Amino acid sequence: MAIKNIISIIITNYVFRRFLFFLLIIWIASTAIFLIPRLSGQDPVKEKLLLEAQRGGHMQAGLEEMAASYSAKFGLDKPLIVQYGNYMKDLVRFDFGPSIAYFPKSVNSLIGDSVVWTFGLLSVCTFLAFFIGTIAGALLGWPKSPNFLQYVFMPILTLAAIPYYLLALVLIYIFAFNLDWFPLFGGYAVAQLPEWSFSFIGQVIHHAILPASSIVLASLGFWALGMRGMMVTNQGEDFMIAAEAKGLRSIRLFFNYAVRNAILPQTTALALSLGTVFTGSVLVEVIFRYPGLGNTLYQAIKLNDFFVIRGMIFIVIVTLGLATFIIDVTYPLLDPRVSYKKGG
Amino acid sequence: MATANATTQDLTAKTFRRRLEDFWRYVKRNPSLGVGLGLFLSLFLFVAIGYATYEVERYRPLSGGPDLAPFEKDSYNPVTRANGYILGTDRQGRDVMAVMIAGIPLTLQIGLIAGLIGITVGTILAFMAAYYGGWIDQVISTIVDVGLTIPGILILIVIAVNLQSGLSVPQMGLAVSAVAWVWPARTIRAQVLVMREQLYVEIARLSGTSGFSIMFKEMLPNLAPYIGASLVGSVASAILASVGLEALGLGPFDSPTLGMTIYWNIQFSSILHGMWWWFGPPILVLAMIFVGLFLMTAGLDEWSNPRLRKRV
Amino acid sequence: MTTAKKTSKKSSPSKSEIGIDVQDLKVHYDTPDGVVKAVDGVSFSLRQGERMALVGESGSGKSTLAMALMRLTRAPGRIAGGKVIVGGQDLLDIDEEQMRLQRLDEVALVPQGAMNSLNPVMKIKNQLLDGLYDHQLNKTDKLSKEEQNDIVQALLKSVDLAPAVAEMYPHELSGGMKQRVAIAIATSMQPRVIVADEPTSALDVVVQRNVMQTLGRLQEGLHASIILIGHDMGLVAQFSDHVGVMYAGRLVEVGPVKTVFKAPKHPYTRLLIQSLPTLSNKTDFIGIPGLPATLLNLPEGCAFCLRIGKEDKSKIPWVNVEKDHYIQECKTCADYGK
Repeated sequence: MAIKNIISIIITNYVFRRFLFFLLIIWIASTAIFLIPRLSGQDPVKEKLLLEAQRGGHMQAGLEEMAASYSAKFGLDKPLIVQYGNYMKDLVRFDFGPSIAYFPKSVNSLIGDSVVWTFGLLSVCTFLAFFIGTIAGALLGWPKSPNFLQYVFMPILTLAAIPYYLLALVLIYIFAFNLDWFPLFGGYAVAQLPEWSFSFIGQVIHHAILPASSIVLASLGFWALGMRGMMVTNQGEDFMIAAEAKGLRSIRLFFNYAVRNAILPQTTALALSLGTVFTGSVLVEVIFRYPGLGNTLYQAIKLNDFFVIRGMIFIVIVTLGLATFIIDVTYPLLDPRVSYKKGG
Repeated sequence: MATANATTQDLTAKTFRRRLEDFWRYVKRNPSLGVGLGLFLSLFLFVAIGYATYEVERYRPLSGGPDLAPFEKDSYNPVTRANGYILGTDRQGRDVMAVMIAGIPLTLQIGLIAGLIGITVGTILAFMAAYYGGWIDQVISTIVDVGLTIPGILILIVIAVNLQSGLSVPQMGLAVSAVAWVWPARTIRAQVLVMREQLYVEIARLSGTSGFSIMFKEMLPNLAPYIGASLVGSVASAILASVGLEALGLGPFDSPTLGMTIYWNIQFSSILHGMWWWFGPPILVLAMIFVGLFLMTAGLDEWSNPRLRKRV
Repeated sequence: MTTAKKTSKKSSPSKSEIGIDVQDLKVHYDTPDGVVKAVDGVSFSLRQGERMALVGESGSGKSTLAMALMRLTRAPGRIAGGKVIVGGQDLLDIDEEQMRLQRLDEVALVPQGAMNSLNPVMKIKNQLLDGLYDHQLNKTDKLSKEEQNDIVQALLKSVDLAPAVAEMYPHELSGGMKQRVAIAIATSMQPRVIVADEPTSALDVVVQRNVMQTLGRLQEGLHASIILIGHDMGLVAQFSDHVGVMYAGRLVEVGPVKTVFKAPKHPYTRLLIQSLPTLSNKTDFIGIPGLPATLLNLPEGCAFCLRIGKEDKSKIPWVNVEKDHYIQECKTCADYGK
């Protein structure tokens, strides 16, 4: 087969294009992260390093070294291209350098500690919210559903409008401060070290309930609203009327015709919403002092720890891009109209 | 025809009162829009009355003794402030009521600036992409898709962290607008794509009208309700982003915006100290703003998309 | 109701039986501005095996009538009165579940050609089968894969579609093919009555002919009554035995197609026929003056009179002018357009 044919087959392949998109996202994001600080002409990183070095203390020597090697790689006296090249080289190896605030702990170890917590919390929350919200929305959008459902879910839909952290504040006040049912902060009990034991896992769950609840309750409504909208739109679709004319049972109409079609744009929305879920959860983690990425980011911002901030944002974007990629690539399995072969 | 003339005359003769009546009747049929507008109206009233009757200057720190519950006597000003302050003071001595009155318009201002810029840029890009198609569309669409996948807040954090001098309120508006144009661009482009196929556009094109003029004179007026709904959505997400940034500690430190108030609340663990008068009001006001904007978007959606209208 | 085994046919109804008897059917829409009488007391009946067409302008109530016959009228519309008797049973008088069972089994719909009447995410074979499942078979009666395949192939064959179509999705089919699938579905349970709502709109002329031929062939084989809704008079003339003309939600003329076309007795029908371009008659186009009636708060009396600027508020009688030929006889406008 001619090389040209192979190339054109690969390029039009859906998976390949989505992968290219994934790479594009990472490239644009990392370039933005590189360029933005340099737009002002100053280099806050270098200044910060020097500042920390001047403070003295036992880390001084290490920091001075750091400042020196930083200048060697990214000094403003070097042409932009060289700086960019060095930057990308490090990035590709996921080398973000050491944390400025917790020197000499590396950025990667800081992120590594928190990733697990955030990943655990968010994946559970997203799954729950999507699942419950979609079912609720499907029922709400189905004309044959009992009426009382509308009243139950209306307030939940309104909750969707407010950001997660506002709900978190309210929940903390009511359930942790006043009623004392749940702990006020942390991922686990104070002065406890992480270990693999049932009591520890119990603590983790107990501590996670309030943060998880704020995220789930505040995002449920979004999923429900979207699904309900799609169900309502579908009701007026020609194929629904034709299906009813076939005398199909309600359950079949609900699942195979209405839900099966409405779930498609829901899934697309899921891919697009991942970024929002993450950013919303940052403040929730801060409020609950939950030991996740959000909290680490918050501390880093307070301490102007640029390396951590950069590394974290990059990791987050890579993860989001990857998750979006996976969802995009599995979409054709749901929708026969989109094929893997064509452009998608 | 005789009938056509009669109707045109009717429209121009419609008095303002009649228009108001029609509007009110529509609002009654569209409760979302009504309640949303109502929430906002009450906020405006609150601010207006506040500015007229209250000493708003007291939003600054050290305006009074710290940590005072509502109406608790201020030992630093025992004579003038025997009855304390309506909403008490915060940890740094700010009069919470004054903070609310001063902060609401600031936050709304940021949202409005960012929302307007976002919608303008978004609409222009959307039209260009949808109308001209081809590679212009490809490029713009890809940029929009990237912009949607990368959370705007993260970019905003990078921007804000690197600005040594911190942001003033208008600057925040500008900064947030950098990410506020993405979503409107996407949705309006979808709408324009649909409209482009419609007959009156074809006719305009065939009769030789320039692309630019078609976009402005033919399509834009028809899109107006939809753009209105997108504007409200844009403002909502702008406020969301700005409050988020401020709560993280990246906002204008000296301004009593709602986000900064949340920031101070977190900093000083107001919940752990049970200072409900300090974290309650901003939460309530923010909830009102977001719910209000949300309802207005839902209402405007219904207005612009007649298929969603509940009653015939 | 048949409780027949999966593959046996129902007994063919005899020629002289009445297939469908519609009496004084009314469909109203409630709007804040008043009541819209989309269908205002329509009556007609068809013998088994006969073909009737319903024609009229847009907004005359044809499609609303079609939906009402299947009891598929949706809010804000509602069936406000009348009877629809099929196989001895008034469809408007039974409960929801019984009506569901009647659909497809006794009364089947062939949807508009312009519609996307097939589920985009289901394979054709499943869409051919699921109607059957929800009617005849309960859980203990599952068909084996072989039996399923046999049924699907038989249905496809009956409408001249290739066996491979079974595994395809709707978006892979052309408009004509999709309509054939719709016809296959509609005839899969040998219904007594077929309601075809503009089955060939949006299809090109050649495809139209094929689809109509397929439909006609199957209908004859089943000896079913068929009500064809449309506005293509040429199609109507070729296909049907009887034709009913609707205006403003009412039937104004009903009769054998030859008679109605050659010598229409109601002024509206007259205008309708006159407005048809023919190859031989090369004069200017004649339209029908005025606008179609607005069905909102339609006054009593003759609706057509209003169109031509006259007025007759008396109750217009439904008069039998010849064998099987009825019209709304309004003396005031009877001679218009002669």
